[in-house]
Amino acid sequence: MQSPTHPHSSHTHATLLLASCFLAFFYLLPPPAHASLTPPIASYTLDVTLDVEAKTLTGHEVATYVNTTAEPIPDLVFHLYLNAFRSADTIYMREIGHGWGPGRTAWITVTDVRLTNGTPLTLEEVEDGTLARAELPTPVAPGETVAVEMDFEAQLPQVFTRTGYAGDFFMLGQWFPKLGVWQDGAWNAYAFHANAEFYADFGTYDVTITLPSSYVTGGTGLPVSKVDHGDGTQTVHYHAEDVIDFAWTASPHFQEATRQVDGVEILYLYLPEHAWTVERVLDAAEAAVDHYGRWYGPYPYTRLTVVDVPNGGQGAGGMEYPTLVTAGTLIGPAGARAARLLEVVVVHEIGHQWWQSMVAFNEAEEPWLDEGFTDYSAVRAMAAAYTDDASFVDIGKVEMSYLDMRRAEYISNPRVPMYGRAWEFDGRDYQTGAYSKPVVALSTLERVLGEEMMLDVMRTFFQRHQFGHPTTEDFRAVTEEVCDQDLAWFFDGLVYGDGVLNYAVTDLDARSVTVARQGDVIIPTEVEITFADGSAVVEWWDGADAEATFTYPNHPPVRSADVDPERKLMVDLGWADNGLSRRLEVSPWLALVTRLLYNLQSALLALGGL
Amino acid sequence: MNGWTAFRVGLSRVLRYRQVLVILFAVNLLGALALALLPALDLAAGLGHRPAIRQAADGIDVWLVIETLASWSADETFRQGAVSPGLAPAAGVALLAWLSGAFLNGGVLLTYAEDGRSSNKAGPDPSARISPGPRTAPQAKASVGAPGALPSNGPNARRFHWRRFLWGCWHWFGAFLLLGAVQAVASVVLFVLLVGGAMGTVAAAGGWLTWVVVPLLMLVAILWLALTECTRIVAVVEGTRNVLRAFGGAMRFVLRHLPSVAGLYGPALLLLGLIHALYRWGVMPCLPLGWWPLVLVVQQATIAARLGARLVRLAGGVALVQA
Repeated sequence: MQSPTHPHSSHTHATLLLASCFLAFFYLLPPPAHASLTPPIASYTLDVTLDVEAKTLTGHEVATYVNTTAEPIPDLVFHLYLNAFRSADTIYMREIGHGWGPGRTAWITVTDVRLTNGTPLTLEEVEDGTLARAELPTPVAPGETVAVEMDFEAQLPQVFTRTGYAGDFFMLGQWFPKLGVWQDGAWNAYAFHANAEFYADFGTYDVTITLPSSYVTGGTGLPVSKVDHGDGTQTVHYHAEDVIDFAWTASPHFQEATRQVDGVEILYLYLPEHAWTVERVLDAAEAAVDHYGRWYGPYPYTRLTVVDVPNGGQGAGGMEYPTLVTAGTLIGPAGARAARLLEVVVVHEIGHQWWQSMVAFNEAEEPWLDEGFTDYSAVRAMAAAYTDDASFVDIGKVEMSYLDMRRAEYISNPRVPMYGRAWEFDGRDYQTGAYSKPVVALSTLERVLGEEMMLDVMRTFFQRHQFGHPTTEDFRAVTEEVCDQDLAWFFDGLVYGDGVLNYAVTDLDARSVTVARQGDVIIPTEVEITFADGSAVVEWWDGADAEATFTYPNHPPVRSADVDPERKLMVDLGWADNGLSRRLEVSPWLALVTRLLYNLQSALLALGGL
Repeated sequence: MNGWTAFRVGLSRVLRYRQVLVILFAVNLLGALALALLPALDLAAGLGHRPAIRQAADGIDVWLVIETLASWSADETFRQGAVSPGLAPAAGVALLAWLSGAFLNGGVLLTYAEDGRSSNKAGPDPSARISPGPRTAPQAKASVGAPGALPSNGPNARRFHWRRFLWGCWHWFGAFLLLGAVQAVASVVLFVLLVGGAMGTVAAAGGWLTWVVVPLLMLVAILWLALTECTRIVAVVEGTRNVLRAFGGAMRFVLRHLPSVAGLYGPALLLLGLIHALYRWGVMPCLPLGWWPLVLVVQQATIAARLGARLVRLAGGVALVQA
């Protein structure tokens, strides 16, 4: 660790000595004691200094890796994420297509890599420099541990995507050399792609951060100590267990607001200009922690930090890290009253504590799992906290639920599979494949299975794979096991496939009803037929054939028919054609024509003065 | 003549020549009916037998927005039966508005102008008592039979004359067609420039500037409205079909009589705002949309009131220019 050097007076020397004693004392303290929830695999001790003027980091890292696999591991592969911003030619910047510039240049260089026993190692950059590989002198045998230490320096970018600085605000994510995941005989580590997020093993993080004393910090885990060196700098020590990453933030302007929820302290670090968000963010965070905890399993950590980002640093907002999420005020208080963007972001990002930070999906290979599960959970939590109909927009009579918003997004671009590697999607398809389609598809599954069974599925999946790396097939296995039914329509049709579905009643007369399936997704559903005397029958239709006709020679004349009458199938591309009646709906037709007429008259008046 | 007096004169002329209002209302209604016919039949064919039409008739809501989106974005085969707003008449609206506006404005303004002229001669018109004012040189010139001048209609001017009205419509039709086209293009350019500039300024300087920029934009829009309407008024009052000359005259008039113009447009636009507010927030929220006959009556009354408010502005403008 590099300490700032200044000429000191004798008073300063005394203060420094005292501070050093305190520092030594706190460093000798054991980390907060609680039983480890999962055996650590990739653990880190990080000692870093932030230069707030030069926007640089200088650090020392000890990475400890435990080989829990059955294979010897010959090398180590590290992610050097910050190198994604070192030129316009990196994979990340080429995929994002814009944003790179002199102010946004960032990089990380690693020097003096060695085993902790002193054996030097060579770290070779791979691909575009966002990965680096170090050959080990001898492979790490199963059950053995290897510890590597290194020094690194990093230039931070002006924040435009997750990490960096905005004035004196700092958000540090993906900032240190970080190990990939050894899986199936190889390192599962990809160069940093624009859409891809992260994948890491669980471990313990012990992090000391030195920065100016005026800065307020927040980080993954819990602060263990804070020592003021008396020279204008301080060192803050954080410790986190059973987590897959460590992120931290710092600003001299942060103010703190806290709330206790079921034994969890929610800490909101907010900027003074966003004081109006405090109650709303804490309310949303409380609702999220409460609902997710009851639905899936309790939040096992003692603190959850929510970070506000400044107006010029929106790129850092809306991101998830273990026990720390960033929010963001995309719109001012007036706009935020109408649209619950503020709450949606908080509730969504906190959802990632369950679906990423605890169930650690491979976000690069299967982004739909973490974003989809999280957003589906957010839809449910928003509805529970802010009513079903107005969970997203609530302006007088104009209401929109978060689910409706996602359904509208899905309908506008439905031919996208959910399953796929992050970089296989372009920006719009990624939004559909990872967010809106999973929300609509999982909501369809919930309506088909029933809310209780769906909760049972999600809870079982969470509890079975907490602190693991499950895949889509693991989810399929749990779902089909809990439901005891074949769900090919969901997995083959919607997850892996890019098919679409539209059910319609296409024809009816007094004695028969014809229903049709347009599209290639097949979901069994119901058809409700109502007769002239008011009686009704509900038919079960497997949807296998593109068209089916139901005949009723011995019933009263058919009056109307409705396919999927309870509108369970959120993936249906249009519900307007699900019902058909033999009778012309005169009154609503005239009501619509009346309104059309008025609008035309108004247009004539406005355009021509008539 | 001050603006408030012009407003009152305009109101009295609109009430006196109710036929003008009836003609404009009839053209508006019949034109809209013609434009609505095909979409209404399409709606009956596409959704008339779909129970979903009940939800569509409930008003604009999320359901309607999403179903409309579905009808736009889903594959071609999925579009059948989906809700589709009547966009077909959109092009027809602009054409009809342009043609009928260009045609009728001449007759409307001539009717009000001749009322003012006869009032000035005979004296019984309240406007004459309020502010008799001297006639302008062009008016004097026009009335003695210069090319393009107004034929005198003598002592019966205070009655509505169909022939005079139609003559006015025809006489200025070509000029107002050209004027309408040019002003439409200019309005679009002005709108884009102003709104684009305003958004850029607000984005650069901060949200607080909205409170300055929006009222300024509204003032510019009102000034532009006054200028476009005064151009037609000047053309008719001065008896010219030279739109450039009329525009120049309108510019001079508006700039020289800005307080009077503001005094007229202020109450006239306030009246229009009140009609809109009453309809949007006062009456419609109390009416179930399913009661379509009552909704129809209220909507037509609103259209008539909006037309009346505009005619008050035009008639008041004529009085101002004549004064």
